[in-house]
Amino acid sequence: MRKKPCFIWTGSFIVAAAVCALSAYALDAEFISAFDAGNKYYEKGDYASAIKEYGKIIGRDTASGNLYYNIGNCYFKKGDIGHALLYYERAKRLMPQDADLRSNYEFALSQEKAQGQMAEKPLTAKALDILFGGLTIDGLAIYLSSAWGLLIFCLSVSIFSRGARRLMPYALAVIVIMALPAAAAFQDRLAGLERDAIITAKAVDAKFEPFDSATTYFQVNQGNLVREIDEKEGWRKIRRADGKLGWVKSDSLEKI
Amino acid sequence: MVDVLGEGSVVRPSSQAPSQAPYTQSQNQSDLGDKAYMTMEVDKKTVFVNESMTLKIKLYVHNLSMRDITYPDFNHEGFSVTEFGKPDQKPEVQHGMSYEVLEFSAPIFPVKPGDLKIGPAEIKGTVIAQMANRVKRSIFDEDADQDVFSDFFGGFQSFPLTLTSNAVDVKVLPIPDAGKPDTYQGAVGTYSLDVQAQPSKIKLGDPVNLKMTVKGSGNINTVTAPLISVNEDEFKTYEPQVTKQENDSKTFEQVIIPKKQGPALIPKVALSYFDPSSRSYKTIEKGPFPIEVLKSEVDQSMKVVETPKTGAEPETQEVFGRDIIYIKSSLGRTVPAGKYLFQKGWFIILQIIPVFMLGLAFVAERYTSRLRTDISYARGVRASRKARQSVQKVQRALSQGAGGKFYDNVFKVLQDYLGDKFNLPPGAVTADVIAGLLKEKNADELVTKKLVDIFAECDMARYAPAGIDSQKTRQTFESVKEVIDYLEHIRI
Repeated sequence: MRKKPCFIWTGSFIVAAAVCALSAYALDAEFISAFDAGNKYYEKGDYASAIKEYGKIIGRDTASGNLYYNIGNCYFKKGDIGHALLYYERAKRLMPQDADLRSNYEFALSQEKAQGQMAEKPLTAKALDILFGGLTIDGLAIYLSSAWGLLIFCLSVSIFSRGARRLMPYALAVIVIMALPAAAAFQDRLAGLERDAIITAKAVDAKFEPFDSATTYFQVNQGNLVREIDEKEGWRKIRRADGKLGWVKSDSLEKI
Repeated sequence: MVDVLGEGSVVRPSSQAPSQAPYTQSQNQSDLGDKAYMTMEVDKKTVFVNESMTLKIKLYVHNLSMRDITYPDFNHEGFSVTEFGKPDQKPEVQHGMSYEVLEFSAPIFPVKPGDLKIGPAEIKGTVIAQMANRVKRSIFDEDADQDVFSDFFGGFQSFPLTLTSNAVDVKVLPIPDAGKPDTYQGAVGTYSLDVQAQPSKIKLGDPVNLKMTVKGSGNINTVTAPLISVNEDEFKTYEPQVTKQENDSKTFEQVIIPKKQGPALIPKVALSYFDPSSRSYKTIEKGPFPIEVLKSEVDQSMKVVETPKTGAEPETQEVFGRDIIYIKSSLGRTVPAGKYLFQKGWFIILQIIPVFMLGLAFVAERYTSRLRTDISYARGVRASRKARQSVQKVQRALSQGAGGKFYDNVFKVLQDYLGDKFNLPPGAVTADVIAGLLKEKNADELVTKKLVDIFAECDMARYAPAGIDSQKTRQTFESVKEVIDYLEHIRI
């Protein structure tokens, strides 16, 4: 008699776990079917419908690098390079080392460059891109965490060993050299996580002040990566890669 | 006094003729009557578009000195005008008067059909005239100062002068479509063509330079390169270039590279133009030009060093175009959107763990180094570690039951333990010494007494083993246990 409640508990737990697993499986199946439907539309050349199908997965707060990549392709084929670059950027956050993605991203960028100039990043940003562009934000977090662990390990060893203590300055220098640029890259990614955006409208006027009548400072073309600094009633203050600041209308850009 | 191009030179219309006149109003043409006038004429009244015609503007001056004359400026809408050359100056008799004539001439070309008008033309200059009707006054006159100087300079005055010519009507005909050859490209005039193909003997892969010189009268600007129709399989051609252009001639050069070895013919070169004098199209053809293409030297020398081919295909172009890469066929790993590792609690805690490890390592190092360097501390620690073993040893001796041996053991264990505990050499561990130390450290007196008793019992058992029974040994064991337990729990 005393064993019964225990049995009920265990049983209900198993059932709950099974329901969870099944629903997760069903969800996955739903995503896969939407994805396949999108691919079929793409093959037929119906890019708008393909985007709609892919969008069903995104609507459920689920992301995948391949998914964003396919959506980017759809927009590219539709001739909307701004949105294509937006989705390629989103895909890049999840799979920065994908060769297909890199190739398409560069191709789309070159198409856009042919239309108008793209702001050049400063050299330091370019160097960080070369060093850590292949890592996701999680990858960078693990990298930095490992460097942190290694630092502590080295310090611990140097507490016990006199010989290790003598080598300590070199070890510390190596770790700092390895970790500092990564920390800078990580910091930049964190800052851009909620604020980096892609210009999706064509030839957007960036103004000195957030009014229609304000003087135009410079122009940003679609596909340009910008960072939002401030916001005011339908206007966003942006910083272009080359550091220029200006106000653009909120509907002319989309966050990554 | 006639000095048409006096001291001053002819001035281009763009520059302002400097006024040396003391009077502001300019002299009117009518005032001068037939002393100075200007005419404009063309050699043809009816022309075709782009046909060359000569415009002449003549300035007649009679008995007058004129200088700082500008080049004629005139309305020439619908005409292409070249700059005037240096004007001719000659005497001429008109209406029974002798004139100095300054003749400007330039070729002009109508650029559109219709009834067009040239001119009127305008020339600016400065006239030096003698004060004809001036009466010489005495030096006592009111305006004496002025007159003195006027007389001194001979009584001459200079006036700015603007002369205007007649206008000329010209009828411009369009170039007729009838009989226009295929090779016609817009040239108007009368031309001759000279073509040279150099060199006539070349090696395969070397270029032949085709030099084409067009000479003649007409609007040379309308002459384009003569046409050559080559077979693309036999020759590779480049765009012709204008290498020299003068007023009546134009030289084009075109590079042609034969593609095949052996004797070849560079085909005919044709130039078509419209001859306005005969009102018909004409085509001049030159050529064909025979050349001989020899075996390429480069090719031969390469063959010497070349290894025999092993059926390798000639290199073909691998990349034909550029487009995006095709979509992915699988969804791949899905992740919840906008969730990152660094935001997870366990990841943050993981970052703190190494700090604890470092703290632990620090403490451990301190401990081991004290064990190494501080003997009394090390012995104390050893004593604590041995305390349990000691009690067990005594218990084992107890179970063996041998009275004398038991006390021997108890003594050894205590000597060992207390020696470590208080950092004493084995010989120094006596009841008195220990009691004194315990008293110093404010230990429980009862325990101290027990310890002293144990030592006393041990001594007794050693010297008088007869009075030992199991009851006593058990009691002693309990006391030993109690004492060690107590010593382990107080801070010494």
